[in-house]
Formats: sequence, structure tokens, C-alpha cells
Amino acid sequence: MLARAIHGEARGEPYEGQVAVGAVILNRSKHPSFPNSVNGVIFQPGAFTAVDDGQIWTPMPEDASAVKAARDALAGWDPTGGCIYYWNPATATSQWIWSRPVVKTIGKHYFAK
Amino acid sequence: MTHEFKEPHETIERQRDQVADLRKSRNGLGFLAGVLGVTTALFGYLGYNQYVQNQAFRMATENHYQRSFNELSTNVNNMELEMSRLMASNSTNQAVTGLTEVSRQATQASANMGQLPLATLLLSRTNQFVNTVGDFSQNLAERKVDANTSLTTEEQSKIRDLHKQTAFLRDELNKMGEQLTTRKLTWVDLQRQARMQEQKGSKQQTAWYDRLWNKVLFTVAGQETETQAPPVLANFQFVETELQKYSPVEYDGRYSEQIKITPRGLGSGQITQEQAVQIAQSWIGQPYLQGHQINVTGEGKAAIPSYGISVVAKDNPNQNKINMDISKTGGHVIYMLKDRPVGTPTITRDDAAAVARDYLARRGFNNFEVTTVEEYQNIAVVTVVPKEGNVSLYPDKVKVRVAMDDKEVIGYDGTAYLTFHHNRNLSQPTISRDDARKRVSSQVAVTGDKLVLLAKDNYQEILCWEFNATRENMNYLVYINAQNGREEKILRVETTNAGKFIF
Repeated sequence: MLARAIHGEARGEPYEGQVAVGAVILNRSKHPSFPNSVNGVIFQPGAFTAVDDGQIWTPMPEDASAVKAARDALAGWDPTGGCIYYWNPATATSQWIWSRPVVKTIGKHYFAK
Repeated sequence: MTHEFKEPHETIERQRDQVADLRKSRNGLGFLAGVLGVTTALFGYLGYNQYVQNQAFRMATENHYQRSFNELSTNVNNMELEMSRLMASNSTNQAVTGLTEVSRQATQASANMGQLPLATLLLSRTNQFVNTVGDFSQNLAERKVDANTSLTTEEQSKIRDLHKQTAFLRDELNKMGEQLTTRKLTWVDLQRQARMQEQKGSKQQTAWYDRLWNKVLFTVAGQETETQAPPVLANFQFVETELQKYSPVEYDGRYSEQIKITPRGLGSGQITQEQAVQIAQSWIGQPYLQGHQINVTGEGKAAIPSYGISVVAKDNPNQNKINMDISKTGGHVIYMLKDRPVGTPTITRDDAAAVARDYLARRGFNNFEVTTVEEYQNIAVVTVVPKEGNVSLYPDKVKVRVAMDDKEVIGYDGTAYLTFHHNRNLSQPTISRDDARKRVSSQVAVTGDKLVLLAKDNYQEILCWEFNATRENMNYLVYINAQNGREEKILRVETTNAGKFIF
């Protein structure tokens, strides 16, 4: 499931970006402001555009980098250092997300706590 | 004077022609009208069919949201009820059962909240509150079991504070429930309003025709226009701001706001960008760097502020990139990750473990012990921990990612090590190995033991005896506190093709 979410959200991103998306999902599941399970985080209505518009179900080849990235994230790799938000500055539609302090940029996404 | 009388014969003929023409065209028209009629009817039917289906889906979604909201209300109601009972209790067993029930209802409340179609912003503080209450209760329940006493005055006062906030949340949720029924609001509508609110003032405005349509909908449906804060959403907003006014409850657990982790293993001295590049160079090593370019990609502001470094081959900059983060304080490599396709393995997991140990030793990490090796997609992730004396320090772990086709190390993660490692001057265990052994259940067979430092959920570290134990093909790790003999944790070890997994 984690791999599908990464695939849906960060397909064209560099590998580090894909691991980072996985890490954000895992960080959310451990954070008190978010649902407590990976599935809870992924399927929270409105949380991920790829989930809301069905991109998460695009067919994913078995050797997609998203699968490797998911395993790395689950093994503890976190290039974001604990972030729980990320967005694409060119396409983000919500205004409040810009108030989060940006920790770093990976690929096309800003990551924030 | 001759009239231009047309011959009656001609007039009649012309009239006959005109009628014939008319009839023909009327037939043509009639045919066209028939076709149009059938098509309209067909599309009408299809449209109606779509509408009926749409309504069915809408109703199913709406029912789902209604159920989640109602369950949430019930959960919070129950939380308040249990806490009020605790405030009148005077025994250990009532305290423990009550607290466990609060924790259980809190978990369900959080799960139900996560199913509502509202922006994270509207729910984050509320969700945090519910989770904190649950975690606090769970923690306290565990401690009451050990202490075997009823709630102390201090504990009672904390419960009282939390109870007040829970009652407030419950009242607001009840108000929202009333609003939903009296104003005939639906969650699907609220979802749309919430999204519109989120998008207000952002770069990508909703299209003008969308906004116009929404205005039409609102006026027709008799609801507030988008300029006023919509009900229920406004309630959630109110809850968020009100909950922030309370000071966080002081306790020892996972979500406690008192926990601030400052990295301890960084040492001192700030480095510059150029120094970061040099550190990256010496970490990766010279023969590899031939034909490669090192760039600084930016700065990171996570718990350990860092410089980002990338290493790419000059002739092939888009493949096999190496990314690294170097800490600004002390110039330590926080992590390194290289993405490259890995072929079929030629080494075993034990070989990979040896490669990892060697890699670390050459970079100054000596006396490290391998704890686990996981394998997936031809890559081995080796977890190693340092030791202080003969104690394995689990919080200070380092991970090394080894490609099993050619033994290349393609990943390193020292985040935990840099965050937690320091000279702890651990005291000797008070409980001897044999005494600790006696406290392990007689239902299992013990096969090994060692001294370890274990970190709990709230980052508290305890010295423990770790015993390998088995029972009926199931493998365990049992941890006995080396200072007071308490059975701290029981972990299950599963061995699969991918290695050992610990739950």
C-alpha cells in the first residue's frame, strides 16, 4: 500500500524524493495529529491528491522504484529528517501549507514539519 | 386592360405543387423531428440513469461520513464518561480498567476522525488532543498496575484537566450533530466547502464558472454564501483554537510535548560548505570519485541542520546518483543513499554483514555489533549498534545498505547514532544474569542472553538483560530490567526469506 501511495504521488521524482514521500507517510502515522496507521494516513480524505483522484491505483510494475523506496522507508531511511508535510510549490492549491517551516527541498517538492 | 390573371389551371397546378412540396418537406421535417425525438429520449434516459447512479453513490459516501461522525461523537462521549468515573474511583482495579477504556475509546475516536472529509488543518489539534489523552491514559494504566495503588492527587488533577477539555469537545461535537440535522447539511457539501475554504487566496483559484455555479447552488439551496464561515466547519475551527489555549498535560509518554530531542552525538564546531564537500570526498573515497562531480544541493533544517551533497558521474549525471547529508555541527555524515539497479546476489547475508562492519571500521566506527540483516530486492540492510563495555546500545543504531551483487555499500544511515550516542557511564546491573533469568517465564526455553540498553516509546533508556527464548517454534526476545527485575518487553522474532523481523 505504501508503495502504491509513493507511486501515485511521486512517480516522476528522483529516488530520494520517493523515499522521502514514504518517510512522510510513516512519520505521520507516528505523529499525534494524524491517524495512527499507514492505511489511516494514506486514506485520510483530502490528505493526498493521488488518493482522492485515483492515481494511487494506476498499475504499478513489480520492479517499480516505488516498491524499493517503500522498503527503504520502512527500514528507517528518512531523507527528510522527520517531516510530516510536503507539497509541490508550483501546483499546491491550499494556502495554509505555505505557513509550515520548510526543512528541505527534494526534487519538485518542499518538505516541512 | 388585361389583368394579369393567371390561368386558373396554372394557379391550381402551382398550388398543387406547393402543397406537394410542403408535404415533402413536412415529411423530411417529420423524419428529422422523429430522429431528434428518439435521440433526446435516449439521452434523457441515459442522463437520468447517470443521475440515479450518482445519487446512489453520493448517498453511500454520505452515509459513510455520517457514520464516522456519529461514531466519533459516541467515542468522545464515552471518553468523558469514563474519565468522570475515574474522578470518583478509589481503587487500583477501577483506575486501571477505566484508564484502559479511555485509551481504547481514544484510539477509535482518532480512527473515526481520520475518515472525515475535512482538511488536516481543521482536525490536527483535535486529533492530537485525542491521541494524547489516549496515550496518557495507557501510560498511567501501566504504571498503576505496577504501583498497585489508586490514583494519587496529582494524577487526579491531571485527569480533571483532561476531563474538562474532553467535555468541551463532546459538547461541540453534539452541537455539530444538531446543526447537521436542523440545517439538513450533508458531509459531501461540507467537504466541498472545506476545500473551497482551503483554496481561498491561494495561487490557483477555482475557475470563475465554478465559483458562479457554487453561488447559484448556495442561493438555491438556501445555505450561507462562501463569504460566511460555514457551520460545522466553523465549529471545528473553534475547537482547534480553544484546545490550543490549554497547556499540554505533563506526562512521560510518546506524545508528551515535554520531549524535545536534541542530538547528542554531534560534537561541536560548525563547518562550511567547502568543508562539507571535503568530508563527502573523504567518505566516499578517491578511486570512486574519478570522473565524478560533487555538488552542494542545498541546506536542510531538520533536527540536525545539514548540507545536502550530491555526487554524480560527469558523463551520466542522471543515473546512479549519490545523495548525502552532512551535519553542519561537527561535520558528520548523517546519511548517504545511492540509487542503482542491483543484480542477482552473489554473497550471503552474513557476507553483507561483514562488508558493513568493514565499511564502518574504515570510517572510524569500531567495536560495532551486527543486530539484524534484512534483505529485499537484492539489497541487504545491516543494522549495527555500538557497545559501551559489554552493553549493546540499541538506541544508537546505524544502518548500512549493501548491494548483494557486488558488495558495494549503497546506503548509510547514522541519524539515530548522531542523535543518541554519547558517553553514558552506565552503572553495573543490580540484578545478576541468573536472577534475571529466573524472572523469565517457565513456559519458554532460554537459549542466550546479553546486556543491552533499550529505548522505550518515550525515548527513556533502560538497561536490560535480553534473553533469546523459544516456545513451540515461536522465537522471542524477553527483556528484564537489570536494575529492578521488571519484565519490560517481549518481542517476537520471525525468520523469513528476507531475514529476521522483530515485532
